[in-house]
Amino acid sequence: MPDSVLIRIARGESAAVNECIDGFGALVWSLARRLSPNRDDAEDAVQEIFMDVWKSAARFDPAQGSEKVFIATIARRRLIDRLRRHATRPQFAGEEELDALGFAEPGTRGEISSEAERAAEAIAQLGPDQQRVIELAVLHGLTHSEIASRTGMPLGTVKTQMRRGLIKARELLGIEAAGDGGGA
Amino acid sequence: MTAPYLNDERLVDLLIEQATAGLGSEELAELETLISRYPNTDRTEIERTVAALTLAGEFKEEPLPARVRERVLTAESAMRGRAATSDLTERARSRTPAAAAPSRAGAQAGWWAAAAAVLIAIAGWYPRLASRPVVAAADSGRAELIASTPGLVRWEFAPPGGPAPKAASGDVVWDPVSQRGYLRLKGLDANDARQSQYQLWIFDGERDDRYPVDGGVFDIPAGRTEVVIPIVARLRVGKPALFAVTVEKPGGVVVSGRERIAVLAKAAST
Repeated sequence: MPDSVLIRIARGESAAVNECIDGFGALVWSLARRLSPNRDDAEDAVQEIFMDVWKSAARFDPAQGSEKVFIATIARRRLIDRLRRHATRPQFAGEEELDALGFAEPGTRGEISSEAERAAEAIAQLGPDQQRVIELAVLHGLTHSEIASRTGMPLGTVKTQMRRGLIKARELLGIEAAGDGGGA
Repeated sequence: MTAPYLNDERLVDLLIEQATAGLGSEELAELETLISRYPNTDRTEIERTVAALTLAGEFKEEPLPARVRERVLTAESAMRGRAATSDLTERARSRTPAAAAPSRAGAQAGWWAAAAAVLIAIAGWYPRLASRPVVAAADSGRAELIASTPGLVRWEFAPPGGPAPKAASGDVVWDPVSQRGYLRLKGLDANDARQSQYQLWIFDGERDDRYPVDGGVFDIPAGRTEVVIPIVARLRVGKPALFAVTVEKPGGVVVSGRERIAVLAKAAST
């Protein structure tokens, strides 16, 4: 089995850099577009995210998850940090947009990665309230309070549903603790 | 098996909020306090779960635009170049005790104004590629290149907007075939590499002006009236149109703010 592209980047193989961008550029760009206030900001974010990926590549452990999840973790972290740093919010939080984007049903997407299918299957096993609060937090970046406001659920209920749902999803996805106290 | 920290509701709430919307400074401090109670905790478990679930979103992945891809490659190249040559820079620094930072550059208002005029149409500088940072004098290499390269082109450094109080001068020689060249500079102040470094940028007439080639960083040692610096571009520079030297933070930058332009050289003769 060939070494992962991240492991080869960590070894300093320059060809792996191109492979990484080819393989995950669309993922990073799509996340940046969704979690950035505008296109220019998304472009800046993509550059920062890949710099973070190069620097963190040596920490990638295939036993803890796929490269795709590793890179998505780094991307989300950077994007959230940028939003908070610039005190901005992505411009997709309107009701129409909230309704338009949700989790996919398992087996309903044509070209789907195994990671995405596993995630969809995990989501499908959660209760409806858990799915809704997780969707608003994970896909739309809403805070607990914002979710309570949007859904009409009491804040305590939002937190409980979120907590239980994510812990269950963690188990379903087989997310393992990193040995050194941290993953990506 | 459930990790002990997952039973701490407040801690898990904070980890979730951190992974989905971010935390303010007070919440972050609270998180640090709470998590310190659980040694050897993997604080990324929730974050990785959230990232994994993100992949189930119904949004279509858009291809990364070519322009953005190039920016990423450029930045990576610059990062790798700086890492690979930091040792060289350090050695050069130890050989040549640094003098004061090149503050004179900031005083040359005429140069800045002229530089701004030359670059007025450039919306933003993003280096198209990074070459190896250059640190050593190379008089003999320059002489050999001039002697052995009939098609060599040459640009003179000159203040583009009138006389400067203490004008720096010099020239660039460049072989478009081998993509090698040398930068010769006189009259630039020595820099303290702990505070700032000079960085070379090459504007290529065949490329978008917004993406000058990063020619690498270099130092001017104290006590040197003239320095010769090799230029090694890793990607092809088709038609150099303008060379610019800026003063940047140690290690150089990916995007120049253009606040401190030391010298410029435009194509003059072939």
